[in-house]
Amino acid sequence: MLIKKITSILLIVLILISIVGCSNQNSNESSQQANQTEQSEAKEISIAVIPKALDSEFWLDVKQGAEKAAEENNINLSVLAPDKESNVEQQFRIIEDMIQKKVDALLIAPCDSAGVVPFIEKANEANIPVFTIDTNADGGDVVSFIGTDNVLGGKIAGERVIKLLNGKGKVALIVGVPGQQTMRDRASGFKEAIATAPEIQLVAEQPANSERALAMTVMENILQANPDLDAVFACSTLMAMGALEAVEAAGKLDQVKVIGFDSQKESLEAIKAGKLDSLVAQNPFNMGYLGVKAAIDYINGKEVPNRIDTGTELVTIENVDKYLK
Amino acid sequence: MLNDNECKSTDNGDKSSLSIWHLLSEYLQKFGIVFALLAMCAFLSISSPYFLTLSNMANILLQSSINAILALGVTFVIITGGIDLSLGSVLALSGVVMGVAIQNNITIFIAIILGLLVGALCGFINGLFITRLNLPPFIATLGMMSIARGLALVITEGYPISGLPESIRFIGSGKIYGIPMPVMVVIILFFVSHIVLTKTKLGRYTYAIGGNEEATKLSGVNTKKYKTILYTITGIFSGIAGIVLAARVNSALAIAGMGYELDAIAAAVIGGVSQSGGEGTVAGTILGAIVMGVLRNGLNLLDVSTYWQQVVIGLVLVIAVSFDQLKRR
Repeated sequence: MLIKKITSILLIVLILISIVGCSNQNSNESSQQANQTEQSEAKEISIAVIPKALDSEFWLDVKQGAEKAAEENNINLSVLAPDKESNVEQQFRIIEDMIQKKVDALLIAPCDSAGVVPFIEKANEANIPVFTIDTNADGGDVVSFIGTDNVLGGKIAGERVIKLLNGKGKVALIVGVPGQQTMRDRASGFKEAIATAPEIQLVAEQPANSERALAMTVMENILQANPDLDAVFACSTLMAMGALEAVEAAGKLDQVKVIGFDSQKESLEAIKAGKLDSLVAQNPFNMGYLGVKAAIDYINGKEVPNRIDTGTELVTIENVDKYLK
Repeated sequence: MLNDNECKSTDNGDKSSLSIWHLLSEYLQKFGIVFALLAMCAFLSISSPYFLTLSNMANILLQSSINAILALGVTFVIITGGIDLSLGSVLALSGVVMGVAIQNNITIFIAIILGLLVGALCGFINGLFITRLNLPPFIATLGMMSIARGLALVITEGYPISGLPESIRFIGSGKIYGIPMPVMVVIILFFVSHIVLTKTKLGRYTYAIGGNEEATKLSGVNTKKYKTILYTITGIFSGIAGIVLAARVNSALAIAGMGYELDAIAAAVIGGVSQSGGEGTVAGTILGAIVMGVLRNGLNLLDVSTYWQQVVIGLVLVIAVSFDQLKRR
């Protein structure tokens, strides 16, 4: 039985090898033919977009943007993502498969900025240009990073505060995990903006690790120490919601304006209800749209800047309906 | 194979069942996976010009390796009629322990050993839960799934441990004689598992426990001891997978390997390892892992979304097991 099985497996391996061998010969011939046909008609560009997942509005917007750019430019687009953002290896397997597919460009939103590096290097070896969207990679040869300019986003929040307080008052800042680049950028943009208004005083700067519950506690403490606070900027939407809860519990909704970063249905509804003042919204659609366009430009030999801002917009009660669609 | 006689005994020698249909289905069950694999390869090479190339074949083997290591490990306990749902979590914990050890400037060799020990310990505890507390394997390993995942998160506080040293990364992306290291690990583990299952006392008892645990116990075998050993082996294999995965993605993540247990169990079952115990070969398991690798790779090349891939893999699993059931009828 064992011998039978081994021989059968050997046979199959042989068959497989011979198929591979034959197909290689065939493919050589057929690729020559293909080359000829390609030359006769315009070669169709194929681009693969690999988001972190496709399980949230954010990534679906990225996909829509990519699809729009693909349609406008008549190219072949694949959008493939792991089933959840935590499934890092699945994303890297998709990258490997797309390298096998010899796509003309890869757009990746890395699930893990450090982990993705060897896979970007693999694509580099295969001469496939790599673009990162939303989140940059820690290394490898990346043509361009297409994402939110978080410093600018922070500045927008700072300008909103200046406008709200007429250039005079006490503000607090709630930041995310210390050391996270995006969070640091938002905070520094905000501080840069309020530094232009000498009568605005930054009375507190506390981390809340992008956690809602922690942000609530942090905000309670800030309110205790600064009963006359006028506004607070939280660097993420979850922290903004936590801070809002603390402000509401203290009965200071009329006194303290809360500004957050990133839009989410719940926080948009809080704006609509007049509780949350505003949010700095990112533009995931643009990440897909501008990303694919940049890749096409690059393939066509045009210059592509190594950093493309996808834009941020302040969402207030005046334009919140557009986001709540 | 060695245990064919034992397996057959479950058929009670019922001659009427030896119809042509029975023979056919048995044949299909034994070699069905090979046919299925060939059919899939044929289909995919027609539908995608990028499928049947040597570099893609190597790519598939590389991508299947983590799943293959886990599936080889879980084969041992499935043969005994058990299950291990903690594979993915133990994988993460082992990787993370190795990562933390390296961060604390412990020698790489010791760090790897520590990772493996943690895997072994988790498996050993699974074994104790099952044999000493008489927990059903499903519950005991479900508990371990949560415990190991939680510990991995506690140790790292959720942060990834990235930027592993070059020598660790070699395990994930290096090559020996042109063979990628993860594939090399699978080949070694394949032979080790094959020898353990077919040539050793432990292997014989594994099939015996799966065939009829009570009878095995009555014939004087310390089944509790052997089952604990088998769960420990599964734990070690999960640990190995954890180290290879961390090396491959250049970072140890506490959230790594979520859901991998299901893929590994599916690979073993597709490969003919029977959930009712007493049957299965490592060759089948490896083929099962390759089938899943081919499926995922092929569906990616054909732009099929990962959601549909889950549907397809579920269907393949159900079809594979129904062959198993047909054979038993």
